[in-house]
Amino acid sequence: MLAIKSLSVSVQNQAILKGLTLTVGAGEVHAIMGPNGSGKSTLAQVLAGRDGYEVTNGSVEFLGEDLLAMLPEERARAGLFLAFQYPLEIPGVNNAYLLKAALNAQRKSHGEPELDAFEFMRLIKENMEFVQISQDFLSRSVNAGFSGGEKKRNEILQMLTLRPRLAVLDETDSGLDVDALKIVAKGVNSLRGPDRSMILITHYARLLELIEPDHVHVLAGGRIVKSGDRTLALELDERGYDWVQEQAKSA
Amino acid sequence: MTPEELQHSLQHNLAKLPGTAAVRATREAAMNAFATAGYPTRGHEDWRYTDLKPLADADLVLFPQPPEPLPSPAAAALMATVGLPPDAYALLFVDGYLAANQVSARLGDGIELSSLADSLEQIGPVTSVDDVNGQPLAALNLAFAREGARLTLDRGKSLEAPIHLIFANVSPLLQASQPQFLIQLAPNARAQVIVHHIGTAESASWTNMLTRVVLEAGAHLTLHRLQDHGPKQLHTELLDAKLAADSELELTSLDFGGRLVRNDIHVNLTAPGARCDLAGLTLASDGQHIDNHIRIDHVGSHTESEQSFRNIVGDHGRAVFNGKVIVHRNTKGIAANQASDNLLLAANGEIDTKPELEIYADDVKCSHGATVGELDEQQLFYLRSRGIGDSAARGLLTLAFATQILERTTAPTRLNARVIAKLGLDLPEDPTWRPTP
Repeated sequence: MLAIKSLSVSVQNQAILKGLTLTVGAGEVHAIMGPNGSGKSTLAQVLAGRDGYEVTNGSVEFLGEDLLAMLPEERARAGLFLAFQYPLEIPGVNNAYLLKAALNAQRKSHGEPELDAFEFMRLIKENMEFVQISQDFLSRSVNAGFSGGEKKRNEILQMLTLRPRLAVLDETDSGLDVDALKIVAKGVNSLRGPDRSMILITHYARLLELIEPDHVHVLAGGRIVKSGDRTLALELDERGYDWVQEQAKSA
Repeated sequence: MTPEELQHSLQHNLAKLPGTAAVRATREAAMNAFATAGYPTRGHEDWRYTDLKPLADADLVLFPQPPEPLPSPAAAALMATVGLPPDAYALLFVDGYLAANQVSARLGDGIELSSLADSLEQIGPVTSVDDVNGQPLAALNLAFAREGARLTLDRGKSLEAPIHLIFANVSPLLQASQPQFLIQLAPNARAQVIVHHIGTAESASWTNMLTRVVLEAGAHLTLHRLQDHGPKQLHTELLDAKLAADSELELTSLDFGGRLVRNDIHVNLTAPGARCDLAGLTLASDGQHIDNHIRIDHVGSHTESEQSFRNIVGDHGRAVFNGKVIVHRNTKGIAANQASDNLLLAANGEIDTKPELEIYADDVKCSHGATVGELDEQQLFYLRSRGIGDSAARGLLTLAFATQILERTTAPTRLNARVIAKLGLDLPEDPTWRPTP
């Protein structure tokens, strides 16, 4: 699904990622944990194609294609989805319009017919119920005036609607109360399947109790310094990150 | 045309203009006021960015023949672009002449809408030189005004449907039309009025408009002004509004057309509870110069003003915004907010924005802010990360910027379409689509 090889990335001439290697197979859920400033969000932004990140070395292959050569919209249409840590507010664009435009852009690029209004509304309503978002939401502007929890649930609604091949969730759990966290986890778990992979970027193990990852990685100093199964997440939660960083240094 | 030439022309043609002897005397006095002041020049701070030399130099046609027939086929075609239902309350003016009045006879008791010419003949002067003191172009309007309308509502009356005034221009001559529109609402009366200015691609006329609004206690006026002249037209306008206690003016002012446009909006909040909510959207491109000058006087205590003006400037366009709020001495409990947001889509466009606050009292809550920029890169990336192409994402964000003002109007869908066409926006989906409940 995704093969990141020796990826180095700089922002304003400062190296953030320093030779990161990670392979995510189809159907796998990977958690990337790490202290603040370790490069977790940079990884998410680079995968989605944000400007201002200079790839100085390495490669990223997504579904057999060179991901780094694709425009952000091409990556999205090919099935990559980034759930933003800080979803943007877009006053004047309503949620339903964005969802429809996003879904149809993807369908068009796959040579599929656009959904008619009736099919689209049925799909959206189903997904909205699933993430417990009320009807009036559709005609409201994208994320404008939403609470933190509403914004994150909106990201999950978009993800459910677009059904990506690879979802990258950038600290989707931050700032959420337990109920909102459960809704987010329910949305993510419902999409798990043999054709779909996920990368959960998180600071805390809390989310990983609700979404069980197949693999857990620790990102520190711009590289993956330790990988393991879900027990690693619990260990990190108990012991913090210092010991991993110490281990990495002495290695 | 110089002030002397204008004065000379007025003297020789006074008999061609409607009105009583008192009206003629007012015209001459107003003409004297203009001749004394002259055209505003860029030496004056309020006119720093806008040069009226094209007017002063022009060979203006001041007394054109009424077009035949009225309305001409070209005007009728233009009128259709406004998209009004056939039974709408509409007054149609073509090149400054009244062409159709579908309203006056149908209004209820205590509501009167008469043509300006009729008012001047039957009542006499409806505006005095003092009413336009310090406003040379408005004085010029007072001197030459031929047509327009006067709307009055008695105490507690309300209009059941909006009144439309449509000023259409089709003449290729550089002719001046100087319409005047007076709106007087008695206590607790309510009205909605929509003024359209439209013109053909060939029309080269100059519209010099005077709109006067007088709201008595508790009256409420919603006024929409949609200026979509042809690309050669000139437009100058003064909207002067006086608001008594607890009255409210809600203005939405759109400028899409015209080559050289200058709007002055003066609102005087005279007594407690008076409130104005002003919003505007300007699109300037292809050599257009559009200048909006707002002045709000908080004369009474506990008065409130809101301003939100937006400019979108494209290739070789120029937009000017000057918003002045004056909080007068010995007032208290004043609230005033002003926002000027500007989107610059082309490197060769220009935006000048200047918020001004003059505060001579202590108990005041005022805010103002101005932004000038390109589209937000983060919003753009967010849309693209959802699969929307760069060009469509830009179109969508530009439209969204405009839509927030257009949503105040009665025809947001039509006006959105106009913005899309004028700016040539690319959009990912049909913008008229709405989710069904």
